[in-house]
Amino acid sequence: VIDVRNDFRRGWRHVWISTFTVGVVEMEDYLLNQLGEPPIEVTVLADADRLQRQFLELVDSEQVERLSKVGAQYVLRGMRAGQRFHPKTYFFGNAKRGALLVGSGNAGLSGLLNGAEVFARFRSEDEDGRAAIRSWRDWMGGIVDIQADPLLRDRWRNLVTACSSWLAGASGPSAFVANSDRSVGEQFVERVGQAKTLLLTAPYFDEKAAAVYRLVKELKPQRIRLWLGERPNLNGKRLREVLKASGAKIELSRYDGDFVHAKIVAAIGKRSFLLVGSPNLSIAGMWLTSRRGNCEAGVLLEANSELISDLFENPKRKGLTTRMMDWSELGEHTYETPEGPSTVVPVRLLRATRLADGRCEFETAARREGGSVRTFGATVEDFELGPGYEASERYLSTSTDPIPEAARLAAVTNAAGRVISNLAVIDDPELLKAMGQVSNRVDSHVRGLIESDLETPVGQLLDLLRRSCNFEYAWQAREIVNKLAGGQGGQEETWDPDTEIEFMAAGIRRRRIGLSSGQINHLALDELRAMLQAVPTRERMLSIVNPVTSRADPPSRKGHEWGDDRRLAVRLFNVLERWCLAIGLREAWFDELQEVSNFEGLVQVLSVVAESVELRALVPPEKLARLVGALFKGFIGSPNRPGYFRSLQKGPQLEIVELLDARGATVSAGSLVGILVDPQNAAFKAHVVDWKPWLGYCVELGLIKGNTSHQQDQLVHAASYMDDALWEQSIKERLGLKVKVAHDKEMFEAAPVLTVRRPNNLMTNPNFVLLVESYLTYQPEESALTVIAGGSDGLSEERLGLKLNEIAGARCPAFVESTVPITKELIRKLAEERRSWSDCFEAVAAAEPTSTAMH
Amino acid sequence: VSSVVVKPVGFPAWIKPGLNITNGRDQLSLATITINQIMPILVPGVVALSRRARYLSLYLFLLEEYHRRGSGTQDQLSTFIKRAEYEYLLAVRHCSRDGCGADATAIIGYFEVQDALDKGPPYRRGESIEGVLGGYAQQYRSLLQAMELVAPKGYVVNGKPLSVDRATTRGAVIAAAFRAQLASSAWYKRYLGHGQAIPAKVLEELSDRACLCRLDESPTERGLLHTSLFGTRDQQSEDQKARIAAFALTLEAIEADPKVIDDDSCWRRHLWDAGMAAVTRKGVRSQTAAGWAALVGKELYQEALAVIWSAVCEWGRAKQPPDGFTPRDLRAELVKGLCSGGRVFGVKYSPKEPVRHFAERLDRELIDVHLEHIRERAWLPPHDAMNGFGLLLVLWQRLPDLKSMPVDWQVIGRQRSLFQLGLLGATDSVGSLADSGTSVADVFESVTMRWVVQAHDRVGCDRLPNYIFRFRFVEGRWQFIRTSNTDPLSLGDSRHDAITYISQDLGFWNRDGERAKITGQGKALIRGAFGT
Repeated sequence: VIDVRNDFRRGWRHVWISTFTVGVVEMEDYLLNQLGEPPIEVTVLADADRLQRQFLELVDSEQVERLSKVGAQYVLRGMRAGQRFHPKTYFFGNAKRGALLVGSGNAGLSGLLNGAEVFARFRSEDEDGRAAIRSWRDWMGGIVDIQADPLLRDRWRNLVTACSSWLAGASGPSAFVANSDRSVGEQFVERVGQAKTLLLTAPYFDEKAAAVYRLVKELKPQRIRLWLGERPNLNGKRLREVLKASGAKIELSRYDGDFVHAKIVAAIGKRSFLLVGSPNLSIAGMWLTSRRGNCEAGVLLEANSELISDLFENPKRKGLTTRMMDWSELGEHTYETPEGPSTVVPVRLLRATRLADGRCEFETAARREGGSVRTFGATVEDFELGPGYEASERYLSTSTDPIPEAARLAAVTNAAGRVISNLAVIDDPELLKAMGQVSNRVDSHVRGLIESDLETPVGQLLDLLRRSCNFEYAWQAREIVNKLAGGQGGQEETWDPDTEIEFMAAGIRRRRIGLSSGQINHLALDELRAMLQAVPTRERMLSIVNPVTSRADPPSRKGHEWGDDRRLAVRLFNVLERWCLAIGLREAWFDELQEVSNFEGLVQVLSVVAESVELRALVPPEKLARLVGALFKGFIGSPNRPGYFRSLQKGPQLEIVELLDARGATVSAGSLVGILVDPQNAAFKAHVVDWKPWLGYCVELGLIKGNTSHQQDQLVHAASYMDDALWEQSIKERLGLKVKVAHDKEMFEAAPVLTVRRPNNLMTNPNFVLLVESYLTYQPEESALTVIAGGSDGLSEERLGLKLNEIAGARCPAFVESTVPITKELIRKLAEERRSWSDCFEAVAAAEPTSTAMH
Repeated sequence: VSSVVVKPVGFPAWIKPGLNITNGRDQLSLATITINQIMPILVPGVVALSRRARYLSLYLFLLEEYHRRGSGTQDQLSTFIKRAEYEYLLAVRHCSRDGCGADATAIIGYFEVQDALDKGPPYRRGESIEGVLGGYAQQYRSLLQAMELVAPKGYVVNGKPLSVDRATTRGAVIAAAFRAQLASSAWYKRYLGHGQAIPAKVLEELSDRACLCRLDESPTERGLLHTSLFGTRDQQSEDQKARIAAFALTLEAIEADPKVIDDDSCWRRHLWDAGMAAVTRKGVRSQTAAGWAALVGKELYQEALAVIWSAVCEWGRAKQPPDGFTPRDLRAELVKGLCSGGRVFGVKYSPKEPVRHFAERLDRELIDVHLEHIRERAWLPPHDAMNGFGLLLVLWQRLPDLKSMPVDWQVIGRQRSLFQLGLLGATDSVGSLADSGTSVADVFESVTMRWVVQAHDRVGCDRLPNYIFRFRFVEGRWQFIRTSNTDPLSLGDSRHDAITYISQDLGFWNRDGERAKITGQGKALIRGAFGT
């Protein structure tokens, strides 16, 4: 038996089907799925009239929306022949090999999976098989040629080119037969010559049994064996006459159990021959060419008579048995005239093609002026057609507006709104191209990379990471929030029930590490631990970008060579940036476990980027620094705008650090940041300034850790590195004072001047004590300084002049002196007790009764 | 044919049937909404067949024991477990406690041991049920994983994937507690993992020490199971909170009406009523009740469509022309054949009557009849499509004003599957048809064609190569398959049994003759969940 499911499988690049009928629903819901993911080009040619009838039925039953793939993932074309387009051939090919099925089954469930059908299978690996497939190629090429259908021709060319390594070449004699030039019956009779026994089975006969009559007349068999399944369409009385008149010995048999759709004709004699395929025992199928009768295809081969008899006698199909039949049973069959062609429509719509701007171009066989079209999909809509033009005996016009993306079928309508054409599939060339062509696909498993990127180490690295983390959920959540807020954005962390419902519907789970009570959710931590285990380790990632190769092994040919592929570099950076930015989205906090897990994944991957020479060529240090900045800014944040981690309570923070440390992520972070804050690095200062809000915080908590004591020292140095600008920034963040440092000579020799223009309460605001203390910590060598506050109006400026261990002077607005010498210890004490300078200046202290005097 | 005959290349053959003809379990893609969408929200981790708490301990014990005895492959573990299940079942059948022994419920492989019991002791060894890892895999493994008591094969520990399932550290503690009950038993010492026949007294001893019904005699073990399922007062995961609320709601129902224990219809009545009474938007109890009431509503909606489906199958098989119905004919004939006027639950209707009028009238006439009773009446054969439709209309009429209800009504009510709307999506759709004055016949046609006829065909295509079709759209015709089973799909398990059995095993309620009594622990669970 032949299991067709073995052919409908993954791995093919081109599938080309010819069939009388096609079960579009099962094609879309099942068979296409079996063929797997792109790249794959599937083309189905079916009888135009039957296809039209099927489309109309889908429209009538409001089921067009079930067609979600036609025109987008595969091409379906209605074909015409003298009478019917009837061949059942299935080609499967890729660059290395191919297979061809030729038989009786149409492209649908009953034809391929459940019917009583017979097929021949050819494989490109066999010489005879290759010959048959090449003969099929010649025949199908001829059919494509006369279609004048650019899309069909393109796809055929793609197929022939892609499979050229084995498909190219002369066809030569083969078992494949078709009726382009000569009828199948003539070819059979010519090969057979004379037959002792003629064996026949088919479900359909012509009314007068003329096809059988001619076979018998030409072959003059001494014995005729006929098998019929249930419900064949034939004139039993006439067939009985024909058989009896032959003078041959007649054996009649019945296949019980089902309708048998197989069509087999065989002749046994000195040499024995077999014909199987699409032709029924009708004149149109057996004895006419495709120009006048049906278009048919089959297999004609010489075989052992035992094999042939066995094929008829033992249908190896569950539920089908054979028994003898008598003349009267044969005579009971009556002939029913098959349904004729559908009503001829005034306008023949040849093609409908979606344009890049969403409008659709319609190609009709005859000139028409204006008019409109109706599209069918999830909805039925009408569109005006713009002015058209003639091209190669075709007439083209375009809809004035874009048509819905879900529209699958279209037809021309007249002024009264009546459909006046056949229904045509709306082809989307861009989507079809994306299905078939690897290099042009913009989609891959990693959003932002293209398919071919996945063959590079960096693509594989990102794909590995994507599989263990989830960077898209936060963006998805943001979209939901924006949508619900009408584009205004939602309030942070105050999702309303609708938002949460949408999140849940999108599969975004709320998972908390810390409980509202302030305690740690240990169960969540356990879950996080398990999640982190799934994140690839740094070593695993490094093994992808720096594969260890044995000297004995030749370099792997798989994958692309490393190179300065600038486009890949851009895509890589964009993907990483998108992932790093996702960490900082407030929506990402909805799932804290994923947030932490993603952070670890990104730390590891960025540290690999920093370490790998090849990857550094794609992501230079300045770009890497941008990624690091985005990642830590999002995860840690600053005191003014805390990120996820900083917003946690201490307990959960330490738990997370411990988990990340156990995974080596803290050291990875240290190595990553360490490279960028190396004092030899030209951008050292820029980085430490930019990263000040989180660097020291992370080093202190152990979230960023050096691998060696030298590296740790380097990190501590970077974290504690300070200059005037950084100090000013830290004061602004800590005390809210916008201070400016100047090294002018003012009250004391060479003393720096700290100017804070806005507040003018120098003597009473405790922050000015903290300001001085901070500066002297930052510059411990300084022994004198001046502080100027307020005075932006030029009138009310206050000044304080200090020299350590001496009496200080202040003008506020009158000049006063401190009651005691100002020492470092005194400043520290004042700062600790949150007291102000007024406590050291008697007059001021007297003027400020609420202050406590210092002794 | 002689085997020496060589077939020429391309010699034809009959095709192998590639379809697996089967009854299918969810022919309208409705049960999946409950199983895959709703239950994981309402009672996470608890699957329909996880019904006896002590099986959790047993499997943890067996996993640990297998590991202690040197481990092996997952296949060997499977045999080890299935044999132990078989012996444990024999022991349960020897239990002398009331309600256990031959009357034990929710046990794995009940009939598998019948032959051995009939033959009498000593009992030859056997395996519980077919399938890899036996009842452990089929009924308890997912819950054990959800509770983080079992790490499955393939789970990475210290950088290496596990080669067999293992109890986690917490799971091992429960296993140890279970082992403590039977460590000195003959079965543990001499029979577990061995092949000799087992005397009856060995099984009696095993049942005395560790029968399913004797969890109450092992407070440590029960406490550990309780903690794993529900957490502690100080620390509860979201899943555990949901489980506590779900169990608490059922305990309240049991307290109000002990019939709830044995009658899932009664249980649904209570859940629906509790949800309808959840008049405040906030509060754990209101929210829980709302979610479960929405589940009941969804089940009723499923039942309504199931009854229509069954009636359509029967009618289609009887009435279809030889080559099936054209789409147009099917629509027309369906309405003519199944919605031609008459009575629904004794209430007269006209096909041309606006559906809103009829729905309101039907609801008024049935005002004293609970939805669950209407469901039961609709379910009675012969199945009448209009009874299913009537149930849907009454359900639509009785849905509360969701704006004033806890959000859980919407969260659960809006859950849908790939091919079917959820409860609220469906009733919204009926509502909008009704708003435009659509007639009974037209709404019936729309509901039947979209949610029954087309939905079944789509589900059938989706299930290929499993062939579950009762009818199909083939080459422009709706063809009804004459040999197929047309019984309405039965309601899936909404965890009634799992919650009632487990809560009994954990000591939340006791049987007291015909009555059931909520224990102090049960009351504590309710208090913990709802603060009442």
